[in-house]
Amino acid sequence: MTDMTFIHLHVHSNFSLLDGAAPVEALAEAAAKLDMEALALTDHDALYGAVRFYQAAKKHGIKPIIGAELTVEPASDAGLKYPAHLVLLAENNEGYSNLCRLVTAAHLGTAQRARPFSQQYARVDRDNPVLSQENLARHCSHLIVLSACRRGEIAQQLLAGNRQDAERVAQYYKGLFGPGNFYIELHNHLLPPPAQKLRYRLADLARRVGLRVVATNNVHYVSREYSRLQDMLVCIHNNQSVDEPQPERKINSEYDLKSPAQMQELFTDMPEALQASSEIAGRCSCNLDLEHFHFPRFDLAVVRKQNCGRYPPPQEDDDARSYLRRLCYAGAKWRYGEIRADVGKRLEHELGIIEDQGLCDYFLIVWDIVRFARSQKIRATGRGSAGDSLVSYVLDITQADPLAHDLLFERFLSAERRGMPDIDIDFCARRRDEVTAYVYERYGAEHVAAVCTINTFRARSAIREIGKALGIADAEIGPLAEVFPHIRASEVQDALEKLPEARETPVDLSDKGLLFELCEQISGFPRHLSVHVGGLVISEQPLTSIAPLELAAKGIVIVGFDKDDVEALGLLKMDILGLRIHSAIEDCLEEIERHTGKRLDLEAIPLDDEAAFRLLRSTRTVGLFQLESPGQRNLLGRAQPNEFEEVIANISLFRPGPVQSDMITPYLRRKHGHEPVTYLHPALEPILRRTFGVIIYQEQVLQIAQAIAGFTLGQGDMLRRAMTHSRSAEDMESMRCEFVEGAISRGVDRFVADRIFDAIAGFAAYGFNKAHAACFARISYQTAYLKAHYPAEFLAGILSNEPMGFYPSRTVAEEAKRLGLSILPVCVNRSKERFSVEDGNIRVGLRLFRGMSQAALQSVVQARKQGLFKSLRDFCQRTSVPRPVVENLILVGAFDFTGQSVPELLWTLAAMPGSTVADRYGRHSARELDFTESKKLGLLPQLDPQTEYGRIGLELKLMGVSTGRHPFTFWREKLDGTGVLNSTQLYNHRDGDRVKVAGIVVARARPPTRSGRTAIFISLEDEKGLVDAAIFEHTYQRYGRDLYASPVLLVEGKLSRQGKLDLSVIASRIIPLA
Amino acid sequence: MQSHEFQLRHKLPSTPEASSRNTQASPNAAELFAGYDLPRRFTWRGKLYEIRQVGGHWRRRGKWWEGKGDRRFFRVITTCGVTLDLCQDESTGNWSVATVHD
Repeated sequence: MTDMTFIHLHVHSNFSLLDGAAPVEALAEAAAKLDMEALALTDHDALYGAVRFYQAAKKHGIKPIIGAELTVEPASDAGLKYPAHLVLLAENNEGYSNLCRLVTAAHLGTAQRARPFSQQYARVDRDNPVLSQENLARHCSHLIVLSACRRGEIAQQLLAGNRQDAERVAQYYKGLFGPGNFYIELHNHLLPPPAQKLRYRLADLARRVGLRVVATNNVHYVSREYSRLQDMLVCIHNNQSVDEPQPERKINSEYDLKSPAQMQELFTDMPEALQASSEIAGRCSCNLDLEHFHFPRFDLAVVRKQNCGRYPPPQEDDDARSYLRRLCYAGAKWRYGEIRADVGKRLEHELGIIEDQGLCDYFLIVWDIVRFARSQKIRATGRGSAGDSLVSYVLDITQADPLAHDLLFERFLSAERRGMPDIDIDFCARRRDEVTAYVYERYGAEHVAAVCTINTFRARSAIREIGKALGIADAEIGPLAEVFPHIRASEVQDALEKLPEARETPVDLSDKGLLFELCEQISGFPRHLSVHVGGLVISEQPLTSIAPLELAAKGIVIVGFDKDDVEALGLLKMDILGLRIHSAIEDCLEEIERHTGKRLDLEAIPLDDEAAFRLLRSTRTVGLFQLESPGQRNLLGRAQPNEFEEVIANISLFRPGPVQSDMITPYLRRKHGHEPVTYLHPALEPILRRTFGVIIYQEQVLQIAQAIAGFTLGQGDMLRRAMTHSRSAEDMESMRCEFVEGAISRGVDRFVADRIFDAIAGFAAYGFNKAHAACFARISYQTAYLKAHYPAEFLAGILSNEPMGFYPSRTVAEEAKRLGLSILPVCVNRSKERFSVEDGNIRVGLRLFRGMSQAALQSVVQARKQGLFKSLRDFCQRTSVPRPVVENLILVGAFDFTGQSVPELLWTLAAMPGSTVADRYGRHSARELDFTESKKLGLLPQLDPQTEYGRIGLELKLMGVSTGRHPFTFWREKLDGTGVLNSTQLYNHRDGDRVKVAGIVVARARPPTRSGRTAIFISLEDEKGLVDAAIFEHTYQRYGRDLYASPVLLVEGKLSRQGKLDLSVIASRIIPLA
Repeated sequence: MQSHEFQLRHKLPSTPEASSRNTQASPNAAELFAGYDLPRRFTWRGKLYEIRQVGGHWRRRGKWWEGKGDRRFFRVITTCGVTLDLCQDESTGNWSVATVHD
């Protein structure tokens, strides 16, 4: 690499958040085009882009140099105008580890990471990480360091005229890193004359101190055309408009990825600085080792001390491999009663592959986490392709029997494909933190961190932030951003042409060309980091030697790589997800136990319960897991499921892929006998019989490849993956040849083999993982069972855990009313923390009451232990519920037990002194409130009672549910005589009739369609139930704006009725009612 | 650059002297100053100037949000000993005198 003329060693990508304007892939591609042999990445205070930069550079055949530009504490005592920068490049893997440690130290300081959700980081400035000199000195080996830009300490001192201080700093760093590892960095950005002198002063200083100089261009974008985007990012960062000058903005557009020739032109007088860049690049050699897993070892000794439940503890001579076997066989005996031949064979097959791929520890780690959850009675279920594994099933990680449902291990893991297995587990959302705390405790805080999510600019955020920086008035930006659905920023222009609600915006678009242009450029740029919803990374070595850590807004330590990067690094990532339906089920089971004295075992309920299937067929599925959306209810009405396998099919069919490829119609027609069930080859019948000859599941593709072409299941999965990801004509033809040749060798006719290949090729991209569907279907079925047998307990559980599912609380409450249950108002004496069942009806809980803090709630619960409240005064004296919340409680009837009217209670509260009722912070003060006239006279004035309409409005606002009439009844009165039907009257009409319906919009969905044309499904709720309406392209183009203009709509159109219960209105006109 | 010769049409009032000397000039034969994308001669206020030396070259970003392009600046010393900062707007190609260092 000595013949290199110039290598860029100071390069910012767009992972220098709100400063760099170059995606890492674009940088690597551009460097390759410039025939550069290497390229560095030196983002500000982070390594967010390091893994993907490494991958991109390797892909383009250039050497990646991993580095960062860190903000460091000044080395000198002299004050600096700006925080000091320093560029650090990893010389080798040890250097990379040090870089990770330094970035971590900059973000977390010297705080000890003893606890996962520590408050000890409270003083850490998340937005301005600064590395202390002490930490820098601790991890300064194997790094090549450049003195950085004009914000470097040496440059700042020179600019301030402090030459001696600058020299002292240079001497200090020379001593710290070694003379051969510290370089004075020179730029030539064609700045105005006074600024150009800095380069010569720096070169002069280097000569005097005995350091070498190196040329860089402090790259912030690939080419000059992106300089204005970079300028925009800085303005956004500083929350300033483009018209406001500020020192952080670049003065010109010279910060691009210049070619070696351009750099030579700029440094004709300092060729040694160019030469140094290639020499440094030659010294840097860091291998991130993306080819191997770095799983932690599972410590069997720890398990020996713990309760293993139904599983045996490890024996003294056990290792991970033998213990996993022991667990699996014990689990198989528990699951199946005895080890049947098919179970034993399948277990051996799976264990062989798991052992061969070195994944025994991985499975034990997952098993241990689930074991802990079970020991603490925390609901937990596995999901995803892990459900294809019998090992997962017998370890109680997943709950759907893979043998009973034809689930194939090779869809999860196979001998043919080495890859990171992915096991995701859902835990009771309320108790998920207990599980993560266990993981931290088990593996040590040094080895565990949450995975981050890199949030990127999307249409709305881009419009808001760029618009603001361009000085566009708030009155225009807000409404403009709101008209766009959640789309990419690059799709804004397209949406303006296609979406009527965007096209017809009242905002003047004629002068927004620049805004939309910049939106397109900024699309996908990282904006900020947040905590991944469930991802935890667990490492063998301390995490800081592999990845940098920082603090997320919630106070949780996160690894500065997203889930894809973590996987690429071969680290163990587990999705420990919180699922609210588990919390709802748990609440439901507790209520059932409270009333019946018996704990219902959901794992033991029959899978053919008639009441549950009757409920599914009736489409009254609001509240059910995965089966409550308008589309799913529609599908249930058409499919009329009779067995559990059909629930799995339903969950799989109403997905974007199957909907786009229209698998639903042939499936339903065949199921109902409207068309014959045929198979292209007799060998397909056993594979496709359960789905009436239609390919629905990914697992079926594997089986077909095996049965027809003689592939192994692993090869079948490779074929499926190839068909999904590589769709080039050339690749498809090659796959076809292999498949057809295999089929012919097994006696299948070429024509038939071709047709079968076409069928699976057409399906491959759209099929659904049956194991995932089966895992979810079990929960769905359990919720159906609970709703069918314990509707009050079930819906109380759902309401207690809102927001969740597809509908707001009020819709779930209305569903309860339609089932004949009453919603009882909140009562300070009777309401429990959560929604509860009282005499067969649902009592609103206190926890979700607006403004009710946990402390206030606890004060109520504790006070009630001493006796029920006798009056409003009694309540105020014994609790710390703030006055505004007490007022709201009065308004919705929480003190009705006192016999006083709402106005009377409000007067009473107003007259109470401050020492009686808590202030807004929950404190009882001695301050006396002004006494009212009524108090002085000892009389209360005559006050108007609350109106019903007012009460319902308040209930919805404060509790999320109403206890009285459905709010739509107030509109209904106005619609009398207009021919608008209610949701029950629709059933008296036939397919094709023109109808008018109206209601409150409770759900909207815009699924992708095969044609790419718009289809929007909405659910309208009226006083009798739900009505589904479909809005297709033509109507949407005409009424799209009205569709989003109001929460209450009147829809006119044609009734589509394909079955007894399958009703929907195909809209031709939409009128907003409010 | 549109041509290798230029006539000063605009002048940026960066100094009071410069702003009071706004005069048109006529173009001259094209010839590039060695090493720069800069004509060797220019006319300003009716007088022909020949560049003897370029003392510096820098760039500034224009108000891109107002549609303005970047500007190139050259500090030149003419054969008659005048030091000037010449400026070219890259979006229009127009030249002007930014500053006169008399």
